[in-house]
Amino acid sequence: MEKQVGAYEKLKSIIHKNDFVGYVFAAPFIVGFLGFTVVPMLMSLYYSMTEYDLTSAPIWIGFRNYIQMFTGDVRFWNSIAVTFKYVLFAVPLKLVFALLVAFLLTRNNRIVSIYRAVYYLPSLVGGSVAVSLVWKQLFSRKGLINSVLLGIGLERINWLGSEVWSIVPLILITVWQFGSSMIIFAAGLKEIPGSYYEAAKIDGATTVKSFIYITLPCLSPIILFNLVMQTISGFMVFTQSFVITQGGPNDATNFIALYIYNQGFRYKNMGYASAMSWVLLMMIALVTLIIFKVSDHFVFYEASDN
Amino acid sequence: MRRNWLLRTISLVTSIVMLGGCGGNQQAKPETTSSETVVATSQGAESTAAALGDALANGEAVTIRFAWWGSQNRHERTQKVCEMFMERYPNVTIIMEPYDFSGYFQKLSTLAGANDVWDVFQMGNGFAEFDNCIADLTPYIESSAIRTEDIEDAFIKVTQYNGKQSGISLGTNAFTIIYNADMFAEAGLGEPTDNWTWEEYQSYAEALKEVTGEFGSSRLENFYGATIVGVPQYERGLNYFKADNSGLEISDTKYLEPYMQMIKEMTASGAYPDPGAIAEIGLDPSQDFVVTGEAAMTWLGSNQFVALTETASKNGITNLKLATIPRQTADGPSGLAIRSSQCISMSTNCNNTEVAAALIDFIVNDEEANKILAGERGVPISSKIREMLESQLTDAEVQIYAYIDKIGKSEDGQYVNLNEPASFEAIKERFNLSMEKAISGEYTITEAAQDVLDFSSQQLGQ
Repeated sequence: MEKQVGAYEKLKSIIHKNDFVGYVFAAPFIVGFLGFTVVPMLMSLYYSMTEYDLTSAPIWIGFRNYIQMFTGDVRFWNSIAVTFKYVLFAVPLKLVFALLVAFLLTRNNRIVSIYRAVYYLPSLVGGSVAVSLVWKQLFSRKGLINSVLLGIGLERINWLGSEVWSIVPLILITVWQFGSSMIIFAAGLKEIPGSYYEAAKIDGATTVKSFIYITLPCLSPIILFNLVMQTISGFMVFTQSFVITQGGPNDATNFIALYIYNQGFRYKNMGYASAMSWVLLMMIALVTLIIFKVSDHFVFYEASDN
Repeated sequence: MRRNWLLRTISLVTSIVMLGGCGGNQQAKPETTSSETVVATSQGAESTAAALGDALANGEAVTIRFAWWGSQNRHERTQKVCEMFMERYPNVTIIMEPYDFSGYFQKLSTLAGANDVWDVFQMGNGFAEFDNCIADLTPYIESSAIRTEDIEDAFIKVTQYNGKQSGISLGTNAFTIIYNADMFAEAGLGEPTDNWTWEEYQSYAEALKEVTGEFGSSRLENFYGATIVGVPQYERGLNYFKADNSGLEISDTKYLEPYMQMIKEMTASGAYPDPGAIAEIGLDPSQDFVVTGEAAMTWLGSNQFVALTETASKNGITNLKLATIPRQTADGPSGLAIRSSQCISMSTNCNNTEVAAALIDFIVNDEEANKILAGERGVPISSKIREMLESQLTDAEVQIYAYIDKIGKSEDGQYVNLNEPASFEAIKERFNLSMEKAISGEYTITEAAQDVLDFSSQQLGQ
């Protein structure tokens, strides 16, 4: 055997290994992940320690951005508080609606497949600017919601101008788009063996009891999944606030993502905005960790010995 | 068997890559009318003779990017003008990028960070922010690539910054209160005089809210009203920002308090819209309460008068007029000056500077182009263009020209510093936030004013 043939043999043996196909298919994602996620994240970490206004070179200042954030910036803490408030209301409401509607739509009716599609539509439309503008109109002083309130006999509420109420339209847009969670719940509901329900009926359980003691435990891994996913995206809420209230009356709807955007792109404090983004990342990670720890107590996996 | 899966892998990967390439180019390509021959009017021949550079003369293919912000009205006019330019120079392709106001500045910031700003682009007054990206146009003016014989020195100076010619103004304007004369008559009020005061404004607004049923006045530009326009009204020569942007000229809250107090009182009584109602207007003047009939006065730039009257007439509101901004005392300075409403600039990363200069010259000086643009961005700075447009001015435009004339003749203008520092946006936002806190009662007026002063000084590094 000569050396040249040896090289060709080597190449052939690599290609013919089963792993090779895996790497080929994974390559586009890995390239994208490195180029569009990892590298920008590292750059952002670098920028977070600089003072950078996008047009001149970044100036290294160490941890001053972080110190400023934690000691000198009241608006930052307000943003964190407002975002937490939003997540605390929007996520549970969204999941409750998703589960309820999924439950109703997995009864054995043929007509439900149409309803399933219809209830999924808002999710398809997405949290876009156009949707936000429509909701802004609904909640304006002379909009539909106020007209309904007047019709019932109540007083007009100044939704967009009130520090207390301005967060409500924003929460509702998110809750309205429960479709994707609903589909996942519906899939989970179909998985529950009908024999459980039959056994419960024989023992005399009511619908409510069977929901609490059969449906919920069997669904708990899916509830965990939806909870984690929705919480993470809940913390990143931006479009509604940007379009409808621009941070709201007196910062009442100044979500952290919006505040980061304003600091970075409008006030030209890109270094500070990067620092805030990293703090946000740590916070979301912490909350997710807590959810997982708590989940050990309520999640029931059919396959395990729980 | 072995060759089978390899072949399948390769064909799958190839098809995925090809699908990825179908994403396509999202740029706004102009609709070239290349089927028509080059139309060179006698005016055109005269203007191109002066502006012809090598690239244009010997026909090598050139592409330049041109971006601007505005309403749909402006987009259509500007696109027509670009097409005219491309007809005249068939080897030039202009990639046109129209935007809305806030989308434009977001994009500009991003491009500035990437050193990839459009070749020719519209600018406001924020020269400090983008100084690094703006090319000095002085060489092109000196070589007559951009002709300035018909432009008064004052209008050239208005877009100079940091010792360089940062742009050529596309139109001058001045701040104005636009009011509904019919509603004033209905309320039994006399119309605003040239030197009316903030007290009169407040009392008019209280009376007018009975007529409209909602607000007396629509949104004002509060930051400008309190600082850029407001501070010079106390004393000729006094300004909020120092001319070199190194700090503030004032340090006493007494210059800001009366204005903030007035807004707070008017919001409480319902004569001025609360923050929720203001959020409904957004950035588009066509949603203003004067247009919907819910208010009788509003603050805009004089060049926005055209769009406002057109939209208002669709709602049956026809008798809108221009008034000066109210002042502190009837015999005090007005605080108003002529400003460039927007200008056209060239970026430092432009590779085809001659073609870019020719485009700038075309837009500023060419008569055919300006018949289409018709001063929609503001009163044109070239006296030749102004004369040409005089014959086709609408009533609204006649009012604007007269108003600009009036402000331009006033002596107060030369003492007003219009420079906006790099942190202008941040300071303006902070002012509005403090204003909201004062309205809601969280701060007293003095605390709010002090907060603004402290923040401004800190931002300017004072």
